Amino acid sequence: MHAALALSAQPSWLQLTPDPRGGEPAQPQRRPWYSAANSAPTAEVGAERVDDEADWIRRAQAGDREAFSRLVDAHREVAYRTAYWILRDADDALDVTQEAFLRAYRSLNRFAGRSSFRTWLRRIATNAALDRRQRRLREPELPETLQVADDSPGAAERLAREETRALVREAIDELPPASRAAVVLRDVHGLSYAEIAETLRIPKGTVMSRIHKGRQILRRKLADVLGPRAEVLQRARQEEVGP
Amino acid sequence: MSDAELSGFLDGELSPEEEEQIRARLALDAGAPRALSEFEALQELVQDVVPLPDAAAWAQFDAELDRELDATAQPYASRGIPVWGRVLLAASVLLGAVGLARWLGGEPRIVLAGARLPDVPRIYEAPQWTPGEPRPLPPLGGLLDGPLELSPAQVAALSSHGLVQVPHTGTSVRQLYAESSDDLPPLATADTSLLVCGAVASRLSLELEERIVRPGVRDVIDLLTRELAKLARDARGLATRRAARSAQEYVGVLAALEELPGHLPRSANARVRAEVAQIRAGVGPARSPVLSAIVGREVVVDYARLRDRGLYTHEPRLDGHTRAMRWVSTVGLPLDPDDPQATRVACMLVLALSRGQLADGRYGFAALARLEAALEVLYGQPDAVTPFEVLEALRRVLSQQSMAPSALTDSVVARVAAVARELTPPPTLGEAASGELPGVHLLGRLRSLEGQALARLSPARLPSRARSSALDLLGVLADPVAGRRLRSVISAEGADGDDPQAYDAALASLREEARPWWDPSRPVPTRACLEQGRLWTVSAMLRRRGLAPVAALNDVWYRDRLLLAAYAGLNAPPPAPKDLQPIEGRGPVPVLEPLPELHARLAFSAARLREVGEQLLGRGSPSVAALDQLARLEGALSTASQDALADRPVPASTLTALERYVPTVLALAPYDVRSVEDLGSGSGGVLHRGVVGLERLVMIGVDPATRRLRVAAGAALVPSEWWAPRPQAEADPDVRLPEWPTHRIPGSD
Repeated sequence: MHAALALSAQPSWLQLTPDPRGGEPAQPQRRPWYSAANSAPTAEVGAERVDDEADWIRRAQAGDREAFSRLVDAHREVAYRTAYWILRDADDALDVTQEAFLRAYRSLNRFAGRSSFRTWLRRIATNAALDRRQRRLREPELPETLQVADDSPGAAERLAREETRALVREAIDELPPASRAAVVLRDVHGLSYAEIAETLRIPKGTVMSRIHKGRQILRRKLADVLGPRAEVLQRARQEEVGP
Repeated sequence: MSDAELSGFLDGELSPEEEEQIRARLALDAGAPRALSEFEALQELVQDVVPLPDAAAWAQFDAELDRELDATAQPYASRGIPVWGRVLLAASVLLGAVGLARWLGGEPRIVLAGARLPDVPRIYEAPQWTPGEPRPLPPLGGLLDGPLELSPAQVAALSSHGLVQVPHTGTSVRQLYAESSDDLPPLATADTSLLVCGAVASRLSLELEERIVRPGVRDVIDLLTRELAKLARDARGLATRRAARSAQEYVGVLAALEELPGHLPRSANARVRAEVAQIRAGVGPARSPVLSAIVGREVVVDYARLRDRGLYTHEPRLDGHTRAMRWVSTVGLPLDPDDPQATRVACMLVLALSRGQLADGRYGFAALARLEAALEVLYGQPDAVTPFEVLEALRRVLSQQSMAPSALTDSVVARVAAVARELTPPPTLGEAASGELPGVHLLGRLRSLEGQALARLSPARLPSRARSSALDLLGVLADPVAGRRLRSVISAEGADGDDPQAYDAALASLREEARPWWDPSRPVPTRACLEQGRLWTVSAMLRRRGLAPVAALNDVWYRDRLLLAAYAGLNAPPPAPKDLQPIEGRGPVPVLEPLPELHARLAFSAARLREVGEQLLGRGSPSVAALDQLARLEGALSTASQDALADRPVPASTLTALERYVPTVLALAPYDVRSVEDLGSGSGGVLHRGVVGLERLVMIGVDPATRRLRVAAGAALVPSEWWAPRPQAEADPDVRLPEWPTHRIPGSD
């Protein structure tokens, strides 16, 4: 088992960082615990990534649209997740994501690199989402989207998934605020512990404990949902590793 | 190994050494893998709380963002003035504007429905006769001097139709008027009647435009501007918001032409400015910046068609408005089931109309309905899909659901487009003309068969939006019986909206039905035709008989009426001038509109329009009052002409009517016609545009010697008139006029 684990050579941070040249978008992807990918990125590769992004930013600041497009590709999902979490609506989140990138584009010359681009963008997306939510509160909301009966294939599965989402969302909402913030930043927004620490202005160790505390609570609350899934995951892992 | 460490391990946040330790323990501790799987499953669940867009949605996102970025200033573009500088600048501009407004003492130029009534000068400033006090009849001057000899044919024509030639030129009539402008003879001329009727019709058009159409359009624009801005900002979905922005551009063109403030996306300003510039310049076929952006491909519009035409459209106050109306009635928004993106723009326009309210609480569609009522009187029913059809289609497609912008998915939009087209009555003008997109027109294009007849009579020289404002045509348009009659024929023919030939087929059917009427020996029963909505019959019949100068008939409707009368009054048709269609056949074929019929027709139309005008404008309307007077006057003239033809003693009421004729004409004529003198002077305004000179007169006059009525046709009825180069003849009073034959009106001795 361990030998197999060691064969996985892809560094984990590559899974966290999207391919900015048009590959799959950023995903705070689950990394297999058994993968060597869980080891920290090497300084060399990490430096290359940072250098790439810094280069895109510089070029985008000079008016290079292609470079800005790469930044968009790299971070659009982060912005989307941020917006969605505040607005709880996919269309709105997509709109706000667009708005966030537009704001970022207009303000790019003011980005000095004191924080990471992702952190800066998240802040913009958060503000844009809060603006949107505030406007919704001030003005009557437009009528809801159609509730058309869905009889397409896979409708039952989609419905079940949506119910699970609601359940999880409810459980998250009931977490203590400190733990909730940490868990959401980690698992929903995909921030690293260091980024969470920077965002919440708390030590990294506190981040870890808050995340753990939150997960423990969620684990208890969602035991019924988690059990079967954990079994599936465990079985899959055993099959993959072999007897 | 604690759960906290497992959690950190899962997140890849442990040091390499710690990770190695965890891995080792995972192999030894039987319960650890299970716990890790639970954390892993939990992480999946929490991540999945945010449903990510699929690849298609991201692709659309990328495309939309690209478009937005294209329209967004570059990062360094706005660095020229710092923020504090911009604040200062904005404040100074604002203060300057406020100060300037106060200095000018003017109120903001805001025009809302009913807030400012149109200025209608002169109609009631003209002198009126005092009823019951017959004025002493002045001599008719040289008009009826000398013996009038009539040929037998002319006598026959006179007895049939009440026309005869008189041997005097329009110059003498003008002199007559000039010499005694305060004491005019009771002389009624048929062409003056026609022209005054046209003028009153134009007056009605003007009043409807100023009091209903323009304020209504401005209200609708204002409403659309507000609502579309909301939709562009708040509507869910990128495609929806983009469609709202496109609709903003379309409305922005209208707002700019009407000189209303608009709220446009910055990226749209340049396009709208370019569009407006092309409209104002009437540049001919050119690429439309706004439509091309909406449709996503090159769209060419013939901007020459948007130039001002016609009579009251030259009114400076309406300059921008008439251009806006031409734009909105010529250029529609796409309605194509195969192009949901472009079609969504029209849907957003309709949604905005259905959501927004005016200051008085009316919804957009209520305002639009009132507008359409006026427009139908002016221009007939719209021959295009209007927002009403789209609204109905939306209701059907989204039955039992709310009409949310986000409901406008591609499939919904495509269905709406298809249903809206099904709901739209068959177009009578065929599909869009060159450079014109088939689609939704905010106020519609011409739809009615009546309007079709009208358009065919005078396709290129019409006031405003290719529609005539001739009073009798408007009378027919306003006549629901006539409209139903024509539409029922179209319907019976199974005319299909997609078939441009359908109208022609229906028209052929109507012609067949009217075949018995084509008997050349039979006079044209004009009034009967009009009463049955058979205006086209008159036209078609006259053409078929080869007696009408078709080209001229299409050009100047009034003149041709007179020409018809002229031909009828002659034993032989005149030689065909170059610009007229050759007239075949010779001999006495008295085809004309009898004078009593002519006046009766005008009375009928005036009365019909008065009813409609009263419904729309109220009794206090100057136009309605003018139409009321006109209807009475024309009715009296019809009676008078009958009396004259029958050589019956003139009743006092007829004499009174005739005495009132000239002052009534003066009163009814629009403000840029100062007197009847202007008719032939070349300096006249509206009326003069429709007249080719006083030489063509059909008159009812009172012979001062006998105090009996005379009916006379003017000098233009002489064939040689056509040989004279008319412009010079009109411009130079000393030009030698042809020798006129002399005739005598029976009973003038």
